[in-house]
Amino acid sequence: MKKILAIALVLAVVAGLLACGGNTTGGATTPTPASTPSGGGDTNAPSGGGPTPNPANPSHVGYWDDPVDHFARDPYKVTFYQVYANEAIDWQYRALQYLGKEKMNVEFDFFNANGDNEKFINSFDLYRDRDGLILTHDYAAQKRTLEVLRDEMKDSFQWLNVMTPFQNDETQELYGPAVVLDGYLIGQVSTQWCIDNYKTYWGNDVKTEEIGMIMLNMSTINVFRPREQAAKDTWTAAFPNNLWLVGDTSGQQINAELVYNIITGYVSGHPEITHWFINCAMMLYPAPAARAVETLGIEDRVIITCCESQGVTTEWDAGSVGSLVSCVGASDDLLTAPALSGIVALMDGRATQETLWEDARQAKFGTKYSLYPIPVTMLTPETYVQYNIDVANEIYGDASLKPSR
Amino acid sequence: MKKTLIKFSKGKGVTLVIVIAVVVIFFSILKKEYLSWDNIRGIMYAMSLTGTITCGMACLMMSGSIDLASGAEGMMGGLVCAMLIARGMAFPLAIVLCLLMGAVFGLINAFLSNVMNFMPFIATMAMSSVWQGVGAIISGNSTIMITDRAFWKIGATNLWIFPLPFIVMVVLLLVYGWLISNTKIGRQLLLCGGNRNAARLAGINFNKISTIFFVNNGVIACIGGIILASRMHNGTVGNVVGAEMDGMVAAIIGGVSFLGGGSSGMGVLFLGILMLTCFKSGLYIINLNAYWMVCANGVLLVIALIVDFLRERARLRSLKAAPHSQKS
Repeated sequence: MKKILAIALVLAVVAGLLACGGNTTGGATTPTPASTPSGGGDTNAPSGGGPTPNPANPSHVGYWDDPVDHFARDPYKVTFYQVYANEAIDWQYRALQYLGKEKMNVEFDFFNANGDNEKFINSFDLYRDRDGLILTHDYAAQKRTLEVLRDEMKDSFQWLNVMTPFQNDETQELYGPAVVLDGYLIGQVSTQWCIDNYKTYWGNDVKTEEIGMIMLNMSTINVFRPREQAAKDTWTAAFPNNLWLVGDTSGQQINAELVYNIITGYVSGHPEITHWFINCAMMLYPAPAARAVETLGIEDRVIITCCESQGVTTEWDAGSVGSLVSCVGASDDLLTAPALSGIVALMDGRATQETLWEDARQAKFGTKYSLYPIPVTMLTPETYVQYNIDVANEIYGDASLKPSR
Repeated sequence: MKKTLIKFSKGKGVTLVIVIAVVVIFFSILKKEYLSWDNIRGIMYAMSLTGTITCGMACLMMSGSIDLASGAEGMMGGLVCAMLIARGMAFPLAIVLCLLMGAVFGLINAFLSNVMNFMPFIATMAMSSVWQGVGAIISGNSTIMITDRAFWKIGATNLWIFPLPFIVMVVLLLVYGWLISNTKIGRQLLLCGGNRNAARLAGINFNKISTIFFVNNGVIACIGGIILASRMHNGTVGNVVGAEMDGMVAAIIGGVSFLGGGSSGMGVLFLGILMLTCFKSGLYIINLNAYWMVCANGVLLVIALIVDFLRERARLRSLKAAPHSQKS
C-alpha cells in the first residue's frame, strides 16, 4: 500500500511539473520602428538624460530605429540565457519573442539555470549553434563566465549582457557591452529628486538639520552598490552634516517584515530627525517601508522613492500613494528593445563588441565597451501611466500591442 | 495561581526574565530610544508574526516533530488570501478558505511524516520548496495588492495600546497553554514527544496526535501569513518564508525541547518570543552592521541549542537519580 502511495505521489509531482510548464504567450501585430525611447515623466532631473545617438552613427547601427531590412535574411536564432527566472524576466522573454518575430526576424528560446552557476556556465556548449545569446549572469561567477565566453565560445555565438554587466566592481570598467540601467545615475537622480522636491510635500518651514536619509539596500548584490554610493554622494553633497543610515538586508531572508522592522527601528532610534527621505535600491522595499511609516504615523513627514519602478507602480495602480511619491522609470521595454537591436547588429557583423554603441560611450565605463544609454526618468503618481504608454508606443507602435504581465 | 508562580520561580521563566532585563538595559544604555513607545510598538508587531508561527511550531516540537515549511505555508496563506480578495471575494470567506488550505498543508506533512515515515525535517523542508514554487507560479512571482480597507483593519487596529496582531498571538498562547496543561490531548502530546514507545504502550495513537498538530501548525502558519498580508496590504512570494527558523529559535529559548516532550509552559514561551524580538530590535536600533547582525542571530541560535542540550542532560540525570533516591 505504501509503495503504491509513493508511486502515486511521484506521478502527481511529475504531472504537476508538466502541467506547470512554460507560460509564454505570443504577440499580435507588427509594431513600427522607433527611435531611442524616452517616455514621459520628469526628465528635468539632473543628468537624467544620458547621451542620445549622435550624427557620428548616422545609420544607427545597434539602435531601435536602425533602418536595415531584417527580413531580407534568414531568421536569427537567439537564446534568452538567464541564471534565474522571475516575473520580470519571464515578461522580458515574452516581449523579446514578440518583438523578435515581428520587428527583427529573430526567433527566441529561453534557458534558465535556476540559480546554478555551474549549470549556467556548462550549458553554453549546448547552445554553441545559436546565432546569439542575450544573457544575465551572476556576479559570483563573472570571471569564469567571461573566460568561457571569450575562449571556448569565441567561434560560436554572439553575446550581449542585459541587467548585469561584466564589469569591474571598483572601477566600473566594462568587459563587454551591456544593456543595464546605470546604477550610479539612478541612485543619484532619485536622491536628487527628493532634495529638489521635498518642499513641495513638506512646505518651506522644514528645518533642514532635522532631515535624515535611510537607504534600503542589499550590499551583497553588485548592481545595487553603485545606487547606494550615488545616493550617499548626492545626499552628503546637499546635506553634509545630516544623518545618513543604510538599512542593509544582506544575509537575511528579504521579506516585508524585515524591511518593516528596519524602518521602525531606525526611525524610533532617532527622534531628533523629524523628516525622512527613504530611498529603496530594489522593488521589494518600498511597500513595507510605506507600511512602517503609516504605522508610525509620520506619512506627512516622509518621502519614499525607489531606484526601480515595479514595487511602487503596483501600489499606485491600487490607489495607494501616501509617502510613496516617486520612483525611477525603468520600463522593461527599455531593456528588451536595445538588447534586441544590439544583438542583431552583432550577429549581422555590422558592429563588434568594441564598436557597438561606440557613439554613446562614457569614459567612466572604460574605453573599450559601451553601456547602452537608457534614459533615466523620475516618475510620480501623476506621470507614470502616460510614461508607460509613451514608451510602449515608441517600441510597439501601439501600446495595446505590448505583452501583458 | 500560587502553584503556577512557584513553578515559574523555580523554572526557566526566572532565567528568561533576567536575560530579557539584561538585554533591555543593555540596549537602553546604548540607545535610550530603545524604550520609546514607537520601538515598543514595533517590538509588539514583530512579536506578533514570530509568536504566531511559534505557537504552532512549539506544539509540533513538543510532539517530537517539526515543520520547516511553516514559513512557506504562511506565505501561501497571505498570498492566496490576497488573490481571493483581489478577485472580489469577501475577506472573511477568503480567510476561512485559506485556513482550510493550511489544514490541508498540515495533512500533507502528516502523511509524509507518519504514513510514508519520512523524517519530518526532510519532508517539510521539501514541502517548503514546493509551496514557494507553487506560490511563484500562481502569482506569477508578482505582488498581489489588497485594496479592501476593511481587511487592512485586521493588521492596523489597536485594542487600547496593543496592536490586534499582538493580541491574537497572546490569545493563541493562552489557548494552547490551557490546552497543553489541562486537557487529555495536551498530556498525550507531551507523552508522545517525551517517549513515543511509552505513549504507544499506554494506548496513545501517535499518528493521530501528530496529525492533529501538523494540521494545527498549518492553520496557525496561515493565520500568521494572513495577518502579515493585512499589515502590508499585499500578498507576495517571500513574505513569512524564513519565519519558521525564528519560530524554532523562540521555541527553544522559551523552554521547548528540540527533542520533543519538554515544555516550560506557554508563559515561558512568551518570554522566549519576547527575548528573541527584543534582541533583534536592539540590533536594528543601534544600526548594527548587517553582517554582524547575521552573525549575532546565528550565535543566539547556538546559545539556545546549548542551553537546550544542557537542560535536557540535567533532566535525564534527574530521572536516573530518581530510582536511587526512592530506594534510599
